[in-house]
Formats: sequence, C-alpha cells, structure tokens
Amino acid sequence: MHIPDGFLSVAVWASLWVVAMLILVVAVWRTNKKLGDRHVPLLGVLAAFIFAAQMLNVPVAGGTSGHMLGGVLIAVFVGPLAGSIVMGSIFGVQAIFFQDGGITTMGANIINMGLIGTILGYFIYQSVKKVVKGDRGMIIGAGVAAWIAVVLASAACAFELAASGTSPLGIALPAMVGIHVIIGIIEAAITIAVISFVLKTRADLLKLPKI
Amino acid sequence: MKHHFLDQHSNLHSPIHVLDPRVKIIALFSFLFFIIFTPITQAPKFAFYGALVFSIILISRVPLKFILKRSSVIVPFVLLVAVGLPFLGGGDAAGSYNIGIFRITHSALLIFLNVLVKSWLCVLAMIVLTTTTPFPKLLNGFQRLKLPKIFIMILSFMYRFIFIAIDEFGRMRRARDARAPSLGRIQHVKIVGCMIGTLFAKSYERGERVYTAMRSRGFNGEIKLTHELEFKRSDIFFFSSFFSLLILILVVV
Amino acid sequence: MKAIEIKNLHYTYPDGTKALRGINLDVEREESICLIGPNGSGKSTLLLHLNGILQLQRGRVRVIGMDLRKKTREVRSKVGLVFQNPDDQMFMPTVFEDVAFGPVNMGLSEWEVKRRVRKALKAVGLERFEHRSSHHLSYGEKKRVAIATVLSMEPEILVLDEPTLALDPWMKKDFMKLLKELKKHHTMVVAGHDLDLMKLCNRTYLLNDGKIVKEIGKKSEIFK
Ligand SMILES: Nc1ncnc2c1ncn2[C@@H]1O[C@H](COP(=O)(O)OP(=O)(O)OP(=O)(O)O)[C@@H](O)[C@H]1O
Ligand SMILES: [Mg+2]
Repeated sequence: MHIPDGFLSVAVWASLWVVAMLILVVAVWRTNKKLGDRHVPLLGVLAAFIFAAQMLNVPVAGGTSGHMLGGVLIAVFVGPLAGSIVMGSIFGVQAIFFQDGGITTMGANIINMGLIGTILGYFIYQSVKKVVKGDRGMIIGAGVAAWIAVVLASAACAFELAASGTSPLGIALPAMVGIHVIIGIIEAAITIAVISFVLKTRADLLKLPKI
Repeated sequence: MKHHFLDQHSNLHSPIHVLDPRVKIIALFSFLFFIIFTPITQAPKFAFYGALVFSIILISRVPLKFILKRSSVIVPFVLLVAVGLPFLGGGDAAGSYNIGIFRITHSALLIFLNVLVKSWLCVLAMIVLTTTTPFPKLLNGFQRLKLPKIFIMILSFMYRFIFIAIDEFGRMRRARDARAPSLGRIQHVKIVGCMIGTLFAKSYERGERVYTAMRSRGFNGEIKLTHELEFKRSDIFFFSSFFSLLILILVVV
Repeated sequence: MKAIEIKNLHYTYPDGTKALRGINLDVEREESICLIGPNGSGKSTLLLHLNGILQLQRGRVRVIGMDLRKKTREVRSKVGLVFQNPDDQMFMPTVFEDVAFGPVNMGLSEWEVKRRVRKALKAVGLERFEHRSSHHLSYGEKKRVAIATVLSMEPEILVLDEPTLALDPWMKKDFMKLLKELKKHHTMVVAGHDLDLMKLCNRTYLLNDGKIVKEIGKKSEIFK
C-alpha cells in the first residue's frame, strides 16, 4: 500500500503532505509539553520496535503472508499523538531508505497507513471501550479498530489514486479494499494477541500516560 | 550479529559515495521535482533523465542488478493502474488501441506511461541515494539541511535500536522453533503476539534507561548534535554539473 | 576534601520499594572502592545517586565538596557513570557521535570535542573505531566504547555498574587491565558481584537490604 512517486497528482500529494506535517507538528509540540525531554529516546526506541515487528510475517494463504502496520497497537499503548510520531518516523524511514513509498507521496502514505490507525483507530478503540467494559472492551476495541484502520487505509489509497486520475475508483476501490478486508483480519488478530498477552503479563504497560 | 538489509553497498568507494550527503539529498530532491513536473508528452526529456540516472549508477559502482531488482517495489501499483486503463480517458476515439475486447484510449495510455516512467525514474534515484550513503551520514545531511532536531534524534535512536530489536525477535523465534516447530495459524498468531508484547515491554524499559544514560551525560532537553561534514571541491563540481545538466535538459531538449 | 561524602542516604522508589535505608560512605580522592552485595541490595540505586540521576530524598551527598542538591550539573560533569548494559549507554548511530554526545552537551568547541573523542577512544584501545556503526561492535568492544563515552567528559570520578558482567574470560582479562590503568588517574567506585574487582580496589563494602553491612578485608569474609 506504499504509494510510489508519480502516482498522485501534484494537488493531491501536496495537500496530503501539508495535512500530515501539520498533524505531526502538533503531535511533537503536545508530546514535548506532556513528557518533557523524556519522550525523545522513548519514541525512537518504540519506532524501532514497531519497525522490527512489521518484519514478522504471519502466513495467510497460498504461500503469501502478511504483517502488521501497528498504528492502532502503538496508539493503544502510548496514545494517538505519540503514536503518530512513531508511525510518521517509520514511514519516513521506509520511504527514504527502503523505497517503500515515494518522497512526494510520503504525506499520503503517512496518513493512510499511520495516522488513520493512530488517530481514527484510537478514536474507534475508545468508543468501543465505552460500550464494552473492562479488559474485554480493550481487546475487542483494539481488534475492531485495527481492522477498520487497515480497510480505511486501503480505501483512502484508492480515493487518492482516483482523485489523481491514475486509476478509476470503480477499479481501485474494490481491488484495494477487497484484499485489505482480509489483511485487516491479520492486523486485528495480531493486535488482539499482543494486547491479551500484555494484559496477562504486564498490565501496567497498558496504563501508561496516553498522549 | 551483522545485518545487511540496511546500509548495503553504502560503504563502497566511488566518486558518488564520497560526496557530501547534503549535495546528494538536494540533487535527488530537485531531480524528483524535475521529473514530477515534466509533462509526459515530452518524451525525449525523460530519455535524458534516464541517461543521467544510469550514468550516476555506473559511476557509483553499485551492482546494476541489485538496483534494478530493488526498483521492482513499484510493480504492484503499476499493475493496479494497468488494470484500470480500459476504463479511463474515454472519448478519445481517434488514438485508441484495441487489445482483445478492451479499448485503450490514447490518453489512458499516456496516464499509464506517466506513472510507469516517472515512478521508475524516481525510485531509481532514491535507490542511488541510499545505496551510496550510510544511514548515519544521511541523517547528518538532513540535520544540516535543518530537518527538526527532534526527528533527527528519534531517527537516530530508531536506527540504533532496530538491530537490537531484530536480534531479539530472532532469538525469540529460534526459541519458538526449537520448542514448537510447526504450528497452526491461530497458534502462530498467538505466538507472534507474545513476541511482540514481550518486545514492547523490553523496548519501553530500554527507552527509560537510555533517557537516564542521556541525562547522566549532561542532556538537559536541548538537543545538540555533532556532524563532520565539509564541502569538498568534488561536491561543488558534482553539484554544478548535475544542475547544469538538469537545466540543459529543461531548456534545450 | 573528600571525593564523595554520603550521609544517611535513604531512597524509596515510587512503587514503595525501600531501596536504600541509611547509607554512610566516604571516598577519598584517587581511591577506588568496590561495592558488592546480592541482587536487589541497592548497589545500582546508590550509584545512580552519585550522578544526580535519582532525586535525593533524604540524606546528603557531596561530590568534591559540592552539594549534589545545589550543583547537579557540575556534579554530572565530574562524575562519569557507566551503566550495566552498554546497549543502554550507546544510543547514537556511530561511535564518534556517541562518544561526542557528552562533550557536545557540555558546550565545548568542535575542535575540543574531536580532541576528547580521540583521546577517550585511545584510552580504551579503540583508536580506529570512530566511524564504525555502534551496532556492528562485539560485546567487549561495546563495553569499551561505553567507558569511552564517559571518559570523553573527562570526569574525576568514574562510577561503574557491574563492569565485568557477561565478559568472556579473555575479554575480562583485557578489561581488568584497562580498569587498572584508569584507576591511576581517577577516583573509582565499582559495583558488582565479581570478586576479582575486589582485588583491584582499596576497600570493599558489603551491601545488604539497602544498608552497608560491613567493610571487608579478605574474600573469605563475604559469606559469613
Ligand atoms: N525503577 C524501580 N522501581 C521500583 N523498584 C526498583 C526500581 N529499580 C530498582 N528497584 C528495587 O530497588 C531495590 C534495589 O535495586 P538495585 O537495582 O539498586 O539493586 P542492585 O544491588 O543493583 O541489584 P543487582 O545486583 O541485581 O543489579 C530492589 O529491590 C529493586 O527491585
Ligand atoms: Mg544493579
């Protein structure tokens, strides 16, 4: 889902860059205020952690495998804004160092695969938690949020391509969403597995200050 | 443990490798902009852009096969666009082509060429940058180009601890395989969940300890960084010739 | 003037663990002392105080005559603290940047920073390692770089938490030699379970349950 350079029109990529940067600047400013200088190493180490976690593959079907994005997971642990900084750093590094996604399209990729999970996903997680109480609420909320975040990410990607005139919505949307309805299940399954494990072994880590 | 997925080939010696990272970053970004903003109808220009990238690849001595293989990351998106082609740019009957039952218009073909050529040239240029510049140097470059220090710092930590995190996953995976070599899918997800959860706990604690270590070495919130960059004559030469060529392509071709 | 004076130091962690319960300790200049004791006896907690990392709760700590409470910054530039795990201490991408981190924070000039980095790396025997990536080093090399990161701040007092932990016998032999060398120019406080460290030091104290139980002369006395 990493959109390379050249696939989005100038109007689309430029505006998404602006939006992504605005959100990240606000996130940095707020984390700075809340955590002081303590967040600097913490966010770096957590970015390394998500990055490594993304390299763990789970077999899907027919020899293919999927891995997680981790946006919802990190937001559940450290909150939406701190999580956004982590995800922004990851997709920046992936674009520049691994060519997973382009430079002009970096804003779009950060929003699709990162911020939708950390901000929208976190909002969904919180909403579910209000309805379903206790640990079950946490697990179900995170799972649902993870699945929705992945599906929304693929839909956003399709809309961006369509708005750029590179692929008609009628093709891009079903193609992208169709695949990610399944990939989202993996994301949800891993997110649920991680959170149930942490609930059992280190429940204190789920009570960290959320930013 | 050694890791080769990052910084591969970036410690070779070539005229491109020794360039100041700032020069390479600015050159790359301008190159991307030239490509993105050139209309696809001006085909000869793209031939020259391509020639420029490939001559730099040649000078850099990074194996061409490696670069080409890596540039295949754009393929899924190119395919996605290809599938949509018959449904794009309707109306332009004069220049349309028939492939089986599908009719692809001239304008749709242009859209396809547009994404294919541009994304490929851009990705090649990106690969040249990262295969000729080690990560820490690139960070130094971005730092001198005034990327906010907080991001530089977070990226430094990220680079430093990625390897440790991957090693830790590797150890856990070996431990898992030793005890439970073949697992069902649900079991597999559960175990990946445990591994990620364990690593999160370790990472969080590491973050706290690193902060302590930073404070004990005089860190008090203000990020100060070192760099060891100085422009050399070769940098100025590369920079001026690269830009002259770009502008030449823009004006003359 | 004494290098370190600790009077009646208490410390309780936020979760209520009483880690230190009245520590009294004086260290003369150029002296080296060793703290031994079982796991959880409070060694690391005590060492973290010497550098002002943990906030003083009760008691008094003076370093080279300076009150820790009032002059934390100055004390930090005099006391170099080497952590147990080198991966926590080395957080920058390259060895150079890591060793330079302290001096840069002290606001030294670029030239002076470079001089200090070279000197520190030379002292630990890693002159050619400046441009290496931190993650490509062996464990023993990392331990040495960790010491260099502290030496570059030119501290008068070196504080080492379990410096010989997890070293193989050959590496340890080299490492003890390095410590012996460093001892000549620094006041040293070392914590560890390692009995060889005792031989290196002028005095050894046994810690237990947050208190200094006694001073130890010979190895055989420890387990009494
Ligand atoms: N961050 C912390 N929060 C709460 N309690 C802590 C913390 N760090 C240490 N403790 C507790 O304080 C006590 C003293 O710990 P300390 O790390 O100083 O012991 P130590 O002598 O260094 O042990 P070791 O030989 O295992 O390194 C222990 O009971 C420990 O569990
Ligand atoms: Mg200890």
